[in-house]
Parts: sequence; structure tokens; C-alpha cells
Amino acid sequence: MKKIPLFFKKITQNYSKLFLIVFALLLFFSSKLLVNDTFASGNNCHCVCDARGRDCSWMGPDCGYYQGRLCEAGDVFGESIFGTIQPPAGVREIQEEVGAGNIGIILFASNLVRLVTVAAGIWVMFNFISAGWIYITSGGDASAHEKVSEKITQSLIGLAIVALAYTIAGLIGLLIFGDASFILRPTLTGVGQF
Amino acid sequence: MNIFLKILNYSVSFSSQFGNGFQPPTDVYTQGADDSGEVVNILTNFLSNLIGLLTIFGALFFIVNFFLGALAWISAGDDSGKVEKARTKIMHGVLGLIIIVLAYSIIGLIGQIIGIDLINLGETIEQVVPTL
Repeated sequence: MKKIPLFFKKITQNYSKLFLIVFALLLFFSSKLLVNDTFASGNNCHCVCDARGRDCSWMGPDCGYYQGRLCEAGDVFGESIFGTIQPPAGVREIQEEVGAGNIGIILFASNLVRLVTVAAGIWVMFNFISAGWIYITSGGDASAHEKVSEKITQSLIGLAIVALAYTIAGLIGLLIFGDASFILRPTLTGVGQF
Repeated sequence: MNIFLKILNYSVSFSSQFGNGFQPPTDVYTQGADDSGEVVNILTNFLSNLIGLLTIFGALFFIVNFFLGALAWISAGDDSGKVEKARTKIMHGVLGLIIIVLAYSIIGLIGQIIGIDLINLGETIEQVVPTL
């Protein structure tokens, strides 16, 4: 039983240089294989320049193994330190709806706005019911009519504002910033970007 | 002008990092509100429908008031004060309905006199949209 390890030991001692050469050759060719001729399989792949702005390496989930190149105009600067962080399950659905590379937080906010809109509608319904209740229980009280009409008008004005909020945001964007999508489709601007 | 704005929108939608931005809670009166050429149309559409709605409400109130006035007239009997009250109620109802129906024309007339195109509000608003 002890003879087999001894045999390996002998070989490694005698032919250690040969092993080293073979290993180095393998490493060399494998690295050649890695960087050669395998192309990105999607658009979610872009060239990121290093801090010096000279060498550009391909980064992104669809990149495969692209050979790096020198930086060109229009490349993204900055090295990827942490790699890509995958979104958790609930967030991933929103991300998929927004599209790859986009931030889904505003879509999430829109869903919340939608919920609040429905809540406002329900609130207005209860306001109407309570206004009717005031009429019923007033018993000839003169101030009841005033109260009820005030309640109903204010509910209706509030509902109109809630329904038109999106359009009002578009109008403010158009009249103040000259573009209706300025508020509704906001853009992040970084250095060197429009 | 509108074509330029549409091209601007197009380019903005491509450089946007938030997908399509805020999604409207409802489609009525909000569809296309992020389009510079469309948002004013939405506002004018809303105002038109609101005026139509108010006209119908005015007609409903007129019907109720007319009937109440007629009932008051019937139940007035010999009392001339009550008859007078019922008559003014019906008269005011009719006058109010006429004013509601004519309101649109009156607004247009006032706009003509003052020099602000109140009927084509969209074009008036588009005059104050800031451009380069």
C-alpha cells in the first residue's frame, strides 16, 4: 500500500521540471481559449474602461468571454468592483417589466399611486354616504344643506385632482420645463451625459 | 414644432433609466400626458367633458326646481305672496338654464372682446410653453 505514494513521489521529484513546463503550457493555452472567439449572446454587455482610460474590458451578464480592447469614445468608465447584484424575487418582476438596465423604482411608485387613487375613490364614496346621512338625520336643520353641499363639492374637486394628477404633472413639466415628460419620465444625468 | 417635441420625447425615452417613468393610475384623462403634444389636448378634453357634465347637472336641477315651483304654485291657493314666490322660482330656473346653455358662447364672446382665445384654450396654453 505504501508503494504507490512512494512511486508518485519519485516521479514528481525526477520529472518536476517537465511537469512544470506542461502545466505552464496548459495554462497558457487555456487562457488563449478563454479570451478567443467566444462572443456575447445579448445586448446586456458593454465595455468598461479602467481608471486610466486605456484598457477596456467587457462586462455584463451576456458578455461571455470577450477579448478586451483599447478604450474608444463612448465607452463607460470605471471598473466593476462588486460585479452584478441580482435583484430578489419581488423586485425582479418589476425589473423585468421595466427592462434590463433600467431602474424599476418609479414603476413601483406608480403602482403605489394607483393604489392610493383607488383608496381616494373609496374615501369619496364614503364621504357621499356620510353626506346623505347628514341630510337624513338633520331633521329640518338649516345648516345641514350647507354642510352637505360643501362636503360633496370638496369630495368631487379632490377626486378630480386625484384623477388629473398625472396630467397636471405633465402640464407643469410642459409649462415650466418645456417638456411634458420632464417629471413623468425623469432621467438621471451623470458626468458627460446629457 | 410638435414633430420636434415628439423627436425629443423619443430620444428621452431611450436615455431614460427608469423605463417608461410614472405609469398613469387611470387611462382616462391621463393617456399620453407625458407627451408634450398631447397633454394640452387632455386638459381641454377634460374641461369640455366637465362643462358637458355641469350642463347636465344644471338641467337636472332645473327640472327639480321647475317641479317644486309648480307644486308651490298649485298649493299657494289665494296667497298672492306664495304665488309670487313660485313664479320667481320658475323664472329663475329658466333664466339659470338659459345662462348655462349660453355660457359657452358668452365665454367665447368675452374671450373675443378681451383678446384671449378662451374657446381654443389649448392653442392659448401652447403659446406660453417655453422653448429655446
